[in-house]
Amino acid sequence: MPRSSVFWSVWRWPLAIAALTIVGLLAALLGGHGVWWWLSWTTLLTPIAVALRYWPLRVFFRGD
Amino acid sequence: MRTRTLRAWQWMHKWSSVICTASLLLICLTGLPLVFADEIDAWSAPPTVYATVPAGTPNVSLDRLAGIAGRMYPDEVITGIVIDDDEPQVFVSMAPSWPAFTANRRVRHFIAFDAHTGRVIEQSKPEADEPPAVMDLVLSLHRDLFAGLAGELFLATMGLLFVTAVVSGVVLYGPFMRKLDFGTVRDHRSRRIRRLDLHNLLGVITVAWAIVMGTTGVMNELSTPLFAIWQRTDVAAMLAPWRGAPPPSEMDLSSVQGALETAERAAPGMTFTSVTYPGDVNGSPYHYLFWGHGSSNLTSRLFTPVLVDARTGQLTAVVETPWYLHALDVSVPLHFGDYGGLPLKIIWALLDLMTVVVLASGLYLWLSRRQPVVGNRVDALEPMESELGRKSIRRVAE
Repeated sequence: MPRSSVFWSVWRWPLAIAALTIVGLLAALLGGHGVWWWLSWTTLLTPIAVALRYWPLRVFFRGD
Repeated sequence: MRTRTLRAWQWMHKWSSVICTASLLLICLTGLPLVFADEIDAWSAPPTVYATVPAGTPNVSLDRLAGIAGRMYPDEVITGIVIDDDEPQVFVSMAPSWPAFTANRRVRHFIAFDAHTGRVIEQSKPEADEPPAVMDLVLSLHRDLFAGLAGELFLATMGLLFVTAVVSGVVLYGPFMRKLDFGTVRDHRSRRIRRLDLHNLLGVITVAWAIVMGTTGVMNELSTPLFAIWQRTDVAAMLAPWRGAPPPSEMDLSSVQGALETAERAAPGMTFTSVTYPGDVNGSPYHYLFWGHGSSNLTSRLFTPVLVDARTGQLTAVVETPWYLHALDVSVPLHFGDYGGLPLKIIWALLDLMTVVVLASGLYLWLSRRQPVVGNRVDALEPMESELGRKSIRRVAE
C-alpha cells in the first residue's frame, strides 16, 4: 500500500472523531443556547458511540 | 519511523504514564462528582426563599448592605462584596481586622442578603470554624491534595506528564495500527492483547478531549502564580503613582455603590459580580477592585477588572486583562464542562470514565509486563516489534 493510503486508513477515523470533539467543545462555548447546545451534545457523543460500537457492543457487529 | 525514534517515544510514553497514572486516577475519580457539583449542592442544601418582587426591581444599594453589616459587627472590617448574578443575593464578607485577615484568610465570614429587600438570609461562621462540606473536600483533593500551592504545582506537573503521555501515545498509535483496522479488539487473543487493543481504541477516540482536559487542568492549577505575576507587573505599574501614600482608613472610604456605578459607566454592558475592598492583598491598597463580565456565553466567562479610587470615588482604570488571565478564564468552563446544560455534564462524566479505563488498562499493561506465559510471549511483543522489523503481525497471527 502506498504510504498516504496507509496514513489515511489508520488516521481517518481518529482525526474525524477528534475534529468532532473540538467542534463540540467550542460550539457550546462560542455559540448561544438552543441549536448550539444540541450541536455540542451530538458531536461530543461520537467518541462515546464509537466506544460502545467497538467495545461492549462489538459482539453485535460481528461479521461485518 | 526509525527504530530509535520509536523506542524514544515508547520510553516517553511509558515513563510519563507510569509517573502520572496514580494522580490522574485520583483526579478522574474526584472529578466525576465535581462535574455535578451544582446539582449536588442544590439537592443537599435547603432552597433559599427570596422575596417575591415585580420583574425589574433593582437591587438595594450596596451602601445600605455595607451599613447593615457594619452595625451587625461594629468592630470588624468589610473585606469585599459578592453580587450573585444567578440568584438575587449579595454576600458581604467581613473579618476581625485587616492584619488578622492578611495573616489567615479563613477568619473571614459572610452575611448573605436578599438583593431586593436587604433582609439577612443567612450568616456563615468564620471559614476556619465551619465544618468543611463534602464537596469542598473532594474539590481540594482534586485541586491540591490538601497541600495548597505545593499541591497545585505538583498536580500541574502531573497534568503536563499526562499531556506528554497522551501525545506520545498518539505518536505510537500510527505504527501500531498499520496492519490493524480501526477499532480492532482481538478477542481470540490473550487478555493482555485485548486490554492493549482496548487501551489504544479508547485512548485514540478520547484524545482531543483528554488533551483539552489536561491543558486546561494545568492552567487552572497555575492560577495562583498567574495572578501573582499580574499583580507584580501590570497592577504594580498601575499603582505606581500612589506608592508611599497612606492607604485610606475605613472613615476615608467613598460610597461603594457610587464606585459600582462609576465602574458600570466606564464599562457599559458589563455585569459586576464582586468588589474587593482596599486592604486585601489580592486587590489594591487604594482602590475598590471590581470584577465584571460580559453577557454572551463566552464573554460571561471573561472577567475584566476595574479600579475605582476608594477615597475619591473616581475611575482609575478599566484594566486591560492580559492574555494569560483570559486563557485562564476560558480554561475554567472547558475543564469543568459546566457550560452546556446537564447533557454536557453527563457526556463529561462518560468521557471521564473512558479516561479511567485508558489509565487502568495502561497500568495493567505496565504491571503485567515481563511475565509472559509461554505462548503469550509473542503477544506481549507484537505488533510494536513488528514495526521494528522482526515479524509481521499477519505471520504471527497465522
